[in-house]
Amino acid sequence: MNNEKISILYVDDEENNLISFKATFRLKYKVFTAISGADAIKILEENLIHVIITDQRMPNMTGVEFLEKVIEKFTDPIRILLTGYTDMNAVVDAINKGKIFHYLTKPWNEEELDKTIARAYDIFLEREKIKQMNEKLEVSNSQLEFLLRQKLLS
Amino acid sequence: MSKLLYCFVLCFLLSVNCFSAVIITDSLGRMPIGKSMSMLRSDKEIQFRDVLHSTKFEAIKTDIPNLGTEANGIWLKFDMNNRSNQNHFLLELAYPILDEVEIYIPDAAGNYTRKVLGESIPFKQRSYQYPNFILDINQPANTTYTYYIRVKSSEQIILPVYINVPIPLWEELDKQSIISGIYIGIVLIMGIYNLFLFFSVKDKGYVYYAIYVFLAGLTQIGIKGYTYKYLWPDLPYFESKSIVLFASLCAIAALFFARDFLQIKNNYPRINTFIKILVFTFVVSILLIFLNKDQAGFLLMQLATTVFLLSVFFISWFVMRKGYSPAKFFFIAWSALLAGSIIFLLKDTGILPYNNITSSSAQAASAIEMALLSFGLANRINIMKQEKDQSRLAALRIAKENSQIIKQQNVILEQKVKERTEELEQKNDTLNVAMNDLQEAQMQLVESEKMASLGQLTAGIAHEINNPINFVTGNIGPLKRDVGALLETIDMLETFSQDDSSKEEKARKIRQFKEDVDFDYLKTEISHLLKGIHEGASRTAEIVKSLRIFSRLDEDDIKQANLNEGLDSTLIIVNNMLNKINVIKEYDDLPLVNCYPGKLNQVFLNVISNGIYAIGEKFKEEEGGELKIITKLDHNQVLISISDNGTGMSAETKRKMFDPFYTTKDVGQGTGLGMSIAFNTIQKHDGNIQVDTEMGIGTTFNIILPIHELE
Repeated sequence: MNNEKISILYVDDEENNLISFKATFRLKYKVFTAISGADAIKILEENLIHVIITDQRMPNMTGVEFLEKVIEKFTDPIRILLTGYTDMNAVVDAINKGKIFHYLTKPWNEEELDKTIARAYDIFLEREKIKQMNEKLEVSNSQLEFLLRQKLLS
Repeated sequence: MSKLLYCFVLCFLLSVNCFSAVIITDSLGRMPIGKSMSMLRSDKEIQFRDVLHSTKFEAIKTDIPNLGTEANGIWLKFDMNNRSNQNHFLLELAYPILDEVEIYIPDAAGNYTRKVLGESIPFKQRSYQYPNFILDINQPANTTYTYYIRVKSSEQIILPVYINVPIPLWEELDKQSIISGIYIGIVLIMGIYNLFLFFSVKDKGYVYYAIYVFLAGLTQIGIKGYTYKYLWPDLPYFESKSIVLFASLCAIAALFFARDFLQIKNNYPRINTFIKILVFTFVVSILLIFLNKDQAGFLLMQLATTVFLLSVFFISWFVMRKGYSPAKFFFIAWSALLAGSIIFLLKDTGILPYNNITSSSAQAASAIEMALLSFGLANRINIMKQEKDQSRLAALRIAKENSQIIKQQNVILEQKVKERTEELEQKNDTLNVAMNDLQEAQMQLVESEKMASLGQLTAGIAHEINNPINFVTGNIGPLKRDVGALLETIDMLETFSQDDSSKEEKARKIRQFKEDVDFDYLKTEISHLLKGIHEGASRTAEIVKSLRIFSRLDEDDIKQANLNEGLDSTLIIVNNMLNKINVIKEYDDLPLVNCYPGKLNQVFLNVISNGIYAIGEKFKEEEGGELKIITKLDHNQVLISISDNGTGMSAETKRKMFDPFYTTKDVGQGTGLGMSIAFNTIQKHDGNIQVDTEMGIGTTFNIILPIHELE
């Protein structure tokens, strides 16, 4: 699993930003880019994504709206909002509705962005681990329950 | 025998009728023959031939008989016994207002010739052109003839009949003419003098007096027969009416004069009414004579005149007693007139003898009255003058007192003004301080609005500039890496080229390396990154330019500016607020407009921001918002129309929106100054800002700016 590159989906209505992002991180991560929220959802449906980074201000669908939609179907990817400037309301919405993990401003600092992505992935892994543990617990729990029932019967 | 018989008859007649013949001697001058005449009255007209045989003649006992008024003609007869040596005499009837006079003159054979005189005959036809009726009588010496006279008049009949020899008659008539002439002179002088006085003094009293004097003159002269002779000799009809007419008019004028002079109209209303009744009575008598009721008119006039003379006498006495001093003159004058009239009447009734003094008494009294009244008027002027002087003195005294009071008041007022001025100065100082405070507050508010605009600007710019800056800075990292990879490739190629391996081996190694570094992708990526940097840099430059266009907020100079550019720069500032709002721009080719560009941009920013806010209120996060910006060139003005399809405004908001501090936004969201500043700015440009709005539909701002020529 560690061999697998972290897959990141970056959504921005500015194509130059998409190019820039991909150029910056393509070696390190598996980068998906989408020019709009709608495109991004298609990508999400077809690929496993660990981290979603989205711009806030986009025509048709804002970053927060996009994230709200994402949460409905895909709970796993860690969500980061990246925006040039936004007012307080958008930030509050992003936290309450988009349930973002982090809020970053443009222009991005590559190092900071990288670290944030790494941390986001850590959280993703932790959650994954907890999920697996839970599953295992559930399995052992059901086995134990089974055994208990056998014991009671005998 | 016949002579004897005649004497007998004569004696008989004398004994019965007690009348004697007129006896003419050589010493005859001018002799009244009243006592020698007998008279025949009848209630119907009698023909001459009946008169000849009538035995109803009555003797007359006075020299000047007063026969009163009689509807029908009166017959008179007298015998004349000429015992002188002359045979030519003049029969004179010295009463010029007789209407009809017929004289029957016998000749030696006893046949009568009829001579007609009187007012009913035009004056010119008289053989002697004198007011008195004069007739030639030719009677031989030592004869006795019987003459008959018939007289008729609507007026009172008085019969001063004289037999004259010519020269004394002419002398007498001359004397009378002179007396009347003097009287006329007095009348004219009084009348004209007082008329002039009227023109200079403008007191109505004078004109009444002048009219009265002229009319009185006409009446008096008329009675003496001069008016007929001199004024209307060809109008016998008018002459027959003239006495009553002028006497009545004269009385009316006198009443008016008395009323004015004695100041009755205002002070004694009841006397005034009485005077009105008298005036009416005189008017009625005038009407009567012109309805040919001559005698009735005369009688009414006579009665009214009697009442008038007495009543005016008593009225003037009454007013005098009341203490009105000019009434003294009036009273004396009227007493004189009354005295004259009484003498005249006494003469007419035979109590006083008929002579030049008594027959002129009316004229004399009238003249004296006129003179006295004139004195009265003069005295009244004096009194009025004195009163005026007194009132002037009183006015002067009051004026002096007033000026004294005014002086005192002035001192008080000056004191008060001083106090007030001090108070006002103090207030003024306080107000100045308050105004300074206000100005400061206003400046602060304007400043804060400016800061709000700048805040908006900063926010907008931050967003706009961060994206391009982002991909410039963001691209530098990968570009550095890619360039590094390229340099590494060059180094590798160098190493490979100095390698001893075969050509194929080299090519394979190079291909291998290229694949390792994904060289083809590297090339595309480098070009993309460079393109991104280029685009980011140029976009940044563009935004900075917009910023420069927009941020002329503080410039106070008029500059030529492109308004379309200004609108665009404003749109860039608000770009971050637009979200899903669709912006439609319809720009006309606009010339450069002289304006304060920064201030206009602030106006655009305020209007557009409000539009965006209204759209946001209506559509929230949904699509459908539309902002339409139209510019148009119309002759020498520019129309900028900014419409939104937002919430629109209520009537109250529309009314108040340009008021400072009026805002519909929540506390802290707006200063309430945006539209007020916009309004003032457009006013400063001599422009106009209008608003069309409808609740729920949207709002359109129309800004009209004139294109001023650059001076």
